[in-house]
Amino acid sequence: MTEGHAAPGPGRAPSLEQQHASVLGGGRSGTISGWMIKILLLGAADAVAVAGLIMAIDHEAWGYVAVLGLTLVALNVVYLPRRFVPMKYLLPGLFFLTVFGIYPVLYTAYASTTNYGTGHVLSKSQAIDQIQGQSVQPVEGATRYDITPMKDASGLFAGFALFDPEGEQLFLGTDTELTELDLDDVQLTTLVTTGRTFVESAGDLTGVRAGDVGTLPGYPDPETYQMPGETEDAAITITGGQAVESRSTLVHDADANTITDVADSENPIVYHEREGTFVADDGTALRPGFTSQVGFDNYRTVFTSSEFRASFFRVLAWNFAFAVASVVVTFALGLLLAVVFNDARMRGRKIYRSLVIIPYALPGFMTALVWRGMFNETYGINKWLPSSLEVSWQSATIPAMITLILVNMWLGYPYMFLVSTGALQSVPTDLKEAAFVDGATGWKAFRKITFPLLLVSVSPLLVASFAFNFNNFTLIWLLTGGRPRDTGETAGKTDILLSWVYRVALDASPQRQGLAAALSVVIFLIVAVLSAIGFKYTKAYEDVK
Amino acid sequence: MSTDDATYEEGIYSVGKYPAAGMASLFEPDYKRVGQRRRPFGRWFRETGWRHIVGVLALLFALFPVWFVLLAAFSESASLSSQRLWPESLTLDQFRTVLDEYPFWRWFFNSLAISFVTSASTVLLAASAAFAFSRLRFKGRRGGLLALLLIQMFPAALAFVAIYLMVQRMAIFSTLGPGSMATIVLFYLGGALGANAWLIKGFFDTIPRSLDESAKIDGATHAQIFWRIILPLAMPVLAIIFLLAFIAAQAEFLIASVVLFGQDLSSPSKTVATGLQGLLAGDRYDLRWGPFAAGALLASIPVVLLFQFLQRFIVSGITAGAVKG
Repeated sequence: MTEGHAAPGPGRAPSLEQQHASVLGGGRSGTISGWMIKILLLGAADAVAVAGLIMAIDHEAWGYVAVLGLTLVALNVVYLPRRFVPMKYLLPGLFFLTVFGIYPVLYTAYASTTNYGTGHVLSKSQAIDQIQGQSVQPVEGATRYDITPMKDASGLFAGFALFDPEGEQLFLGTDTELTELDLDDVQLTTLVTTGRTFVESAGDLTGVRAGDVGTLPGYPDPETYQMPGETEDAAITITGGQAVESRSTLVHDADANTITDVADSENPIVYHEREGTFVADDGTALRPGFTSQVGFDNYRTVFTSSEFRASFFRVLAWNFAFAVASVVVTFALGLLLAVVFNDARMRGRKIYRSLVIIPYALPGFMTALVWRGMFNETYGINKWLPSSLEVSWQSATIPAMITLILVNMWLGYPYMFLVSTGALQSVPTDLKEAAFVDGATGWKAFRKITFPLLLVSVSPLLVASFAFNFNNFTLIWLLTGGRPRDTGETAGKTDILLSWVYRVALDASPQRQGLAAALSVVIFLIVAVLSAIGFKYTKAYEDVK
Repeated sequence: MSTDDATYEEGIYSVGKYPAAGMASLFEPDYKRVGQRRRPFGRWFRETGWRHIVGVLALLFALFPVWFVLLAAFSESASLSSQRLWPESLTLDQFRTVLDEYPFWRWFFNSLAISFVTSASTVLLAASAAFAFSRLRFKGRRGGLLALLLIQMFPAALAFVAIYLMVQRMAIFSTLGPGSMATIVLFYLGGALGANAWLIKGFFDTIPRSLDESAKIDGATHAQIFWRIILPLAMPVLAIIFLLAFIAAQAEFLIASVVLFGQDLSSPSKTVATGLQGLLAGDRYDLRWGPFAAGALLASIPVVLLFQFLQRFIVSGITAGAVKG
């Protein structure tokens, strides 16, 4: 990225030495040290991308492989040659914008068509693997092997030696393959305690005693360790210190898209896929389920199910009311204070002004939590109020709403105060003078001249403040958490759309991320419409100006 | 807190006086009256006295929560039930509790680290994009600028469900995934362009082009122009963007809590915001009120200090923004 650290300063011709360096650096532009910094930075970025690429390939995460591969190519195509100059400056920002800014939006839209949520987290093949893994049972009459953990010459875990006491055969089993070992090169002993065969050494491998496996690097959890069996659907697993060929009783038929339980070979039970779970005819489901496409079901749920439909419009209405009321009260108080302190004869204005903006200087998440304590119904300000004034600040709907708007007024008025103070100064004095000459009173001049002019200059900020408060998750979540909430309803009485989405997605059991994503898409659409209107509105105002 | 009064006063008193009094002074600034030192009380009250009443009421409203949390932090009791309105004894017990029983310093430095990396990267990313938009000509330049304007209307937080799902999948990379601070930073940087690039571009546009042109004639490369001419000249605006991004990252709650979802209070990667919120989670949060208050005070220190430093810029910036429309 950087090409100019030992570069000549502006307005100075490059010295002979530097010209020489430029030639070495591959042309007129750039110096040797700039070029080196560029190569170092590019190398570091490449290294990170390659490391990520390896991990992604390792986990067969092909989406990530594609993104990282593309990034790697783009990095070198853009920064190595001297072409693509604008891209050299745009690429880093564009990378973060697309991968961590735009992609999540698109992914929200995708997730809204899935049933992603508790019990539907895995992909279908992962879910089938887990389902089959849970039903693994030893194959009838299969060989029971005596097992010995083996380490290689460098001291690392190399697999289990499997000794077949009847057939006098020895295998080395790893999680990927099973190989027969030559018995000539092997030292065996019989353990006195268990009577089982222990492999002292086999070729360059050494056996590890049961007491020493704790310090053996790379030693796996034997309970879940699986070695390939003789047939494809079987595996050798370890139970009770012995290894045995095992097979899942659940057989997946990819073509029919069914899982069949063959434990009882007379009456096999067939499970069919239904909404991301394999379900038998009698309703028994195999867990875990998996993520599957559900089309527009989530949107249908939001707009038609009794659980969501009624709540949706109530939450939407409150969301608008909250945002509008927040803008109105913060602007009203801010403007009032701006006007009040806008008189030169008032003593101590400086102190008033600096103290009155204190709420703006404190982190909002912190003060929201402080207010929550103050409005605690048992231990908060109710303690000092006469009992007739004790209000259920948090358990009754209207007081909880008033609390939110009051606290938001406290958080937001200093900003409006600063804005209004500035805007008041921009109102031309001659207009006001003219009004007074014409006999207008102070109130009338304010209402007819100062206020409309002020509104023109602050309206974009009011629109921005509305947009901010429309999605003011932090305040709602920290102050009321959407409470009060009726049992059986997902949306609390003071939830806004975004905090409702949070509850549906994460703060509920079961979590329903697919459904929450559908709600998010609805919010996106609302915000898009509001932004378009806001754009037009401020444009119109500018024209008026 | 000292406010630079010059920003407010400027322009008001430069114009001659006009005979507004009484009700007129309600909404209009009055002008210094030469030779009028004393007013009768009634008139004084009508003109300025009532302003003090409003001012004092406003101060009570503004400062009550601050007073409330100060008392809780220096109280001898950790419980909200023994919260007072007037101090009886001052102790540091609550500070001791929050520092000894909870990994508060950890949260504190996590937040500082996340904010620092985020804001430094934000400035670099936004400034280099702004340089391309301001100084270079390429296909899609206008379209790109417009796209940035549109994108910044949709805050990343709206897509937090997808962010949560992405974070779960990112666990395959050793340092990323749920509970990883680096992951928080990555998603913060998703919003680094947008408004910031616009702001910086606006500033770059005011730097005379003749500067880069003469440098170009002298053989400077585009990189030299960017690093050695434009960036040093734009230091003031870059500093502001850095500090504003820093404060925003300190206060960010939603994305941090999505990435840290399911991490308990002992997790090594909690931020101050999620840590303090965790302290007050549950029904009987009133029992941990004192430690929370002490932590909240400590957590406010960096932001308050930065605000002090930034105040003159914020005040005049907002004011300018308002006037400009």
